[in-house]
Amino acid sequence: MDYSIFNPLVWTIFIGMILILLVCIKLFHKKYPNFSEVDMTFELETSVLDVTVPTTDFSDATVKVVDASLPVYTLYPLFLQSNRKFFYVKQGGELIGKVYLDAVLQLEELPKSTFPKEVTQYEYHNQM
Amino acid sequence: MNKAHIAFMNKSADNNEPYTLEETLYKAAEISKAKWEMLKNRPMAFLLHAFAGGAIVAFGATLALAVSSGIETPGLQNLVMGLVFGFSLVVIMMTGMSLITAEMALGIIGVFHKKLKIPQYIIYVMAGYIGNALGSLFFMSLLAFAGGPLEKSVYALRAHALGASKTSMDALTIFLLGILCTWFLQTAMFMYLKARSDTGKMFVAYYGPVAFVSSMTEHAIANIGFIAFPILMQVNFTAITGQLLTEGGATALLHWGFGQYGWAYNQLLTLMGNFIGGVFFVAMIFHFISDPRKIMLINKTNVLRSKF
Repeated sequence: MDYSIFNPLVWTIFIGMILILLVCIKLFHKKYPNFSEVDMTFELETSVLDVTVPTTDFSDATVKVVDASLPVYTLYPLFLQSNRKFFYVKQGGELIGKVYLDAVLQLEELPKSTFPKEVTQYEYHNQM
Repeated sequence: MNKAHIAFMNKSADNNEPYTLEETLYKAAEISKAKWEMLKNRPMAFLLHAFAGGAIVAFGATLALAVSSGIETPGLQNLVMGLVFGFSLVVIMMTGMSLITAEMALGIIGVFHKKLKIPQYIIYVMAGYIGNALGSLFFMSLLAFAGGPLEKSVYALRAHALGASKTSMDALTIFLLGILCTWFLQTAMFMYLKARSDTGKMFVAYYGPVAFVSSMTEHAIANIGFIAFPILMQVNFTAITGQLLTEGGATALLHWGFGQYGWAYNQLLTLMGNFIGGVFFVAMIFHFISDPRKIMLINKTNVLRSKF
């Protein structure tokens, strides 16, 4: 079998590695179900405030502070450049919480924002 | 999106540093997607670009045979072959043509990044191989029919000895040398994508073929030329060299089949090895080293840039 295309060792290694490859692809896609997908509704309608988690611990002075009113997509270049997992969020000059990379990427369930938002005139009429 | 935000998103690096691994892999996935779109929408154009890629590899094989004939020192012979073969990958990458071993690695990044589905990947790789094989075989057929200076004993003996040496090895050896070949070659291909300047890209692309040819490993498309040429020339072997074809050794009778000294025997085992080397030991390792979160950020940023 040494000089045959049906060499069992060659085929065992080949098929074994293909199986490992398929399992790796499957597991990766399971871990990152929305990998490579862009949800334009989320990108354009979500603000930093919507994905901010309230906290009172702002002890690390090296963490960048972002404004709560910014759209969420403005954080993408900041996260890319900084290697940080979160930034502090300020609203009206006051630190109010943290915005996490995983929440921005929708890799985890978004926490329900507890911060009061301004009620628009449209929403006000609807609520009435 | 207001103007300030667009300007912010479009802000790019103003240095000449290589792209990050994540940017490189994002680009690899985008290339695989574009090539799949090309195959789907313009199949003849795809086959032609693979045909051209196969022929360019045959340029390298021809040069390597021509300049290494008559050199007796084995290491020097390998080095000279590698040095002239090196330009093949540079030409393929700079002209945007296709090389199946590179497509195998690029495509699997596309599969991980959800730009390609597995059946699409299989069709894409098979179509690339057909184009490459036709291109390489066509170029070598022209060379064999042209004959000319290559019909001298020194060239015919060298070409035949090389073909016989590649097809005489046992199956496991060919398979493992195929793995090592694309480990070299696809590392160079990803380095090409990572380099930012044209000079840098050409330099790293040159390294891949130099490494795999000089180290005597096995590449499926290069071997199409290296083995097909002596098979096509062996009709006149005795007339050119004054030697008879034998059952084994450097003057063994070569054939197109799946047995020892066969073209298809070497092709199948080399292709299997090339697949594992490029996909498993380069693309997959690079993929798992890269940070998926950064790739998601790059992807989202680029999609938003393209929309506004």
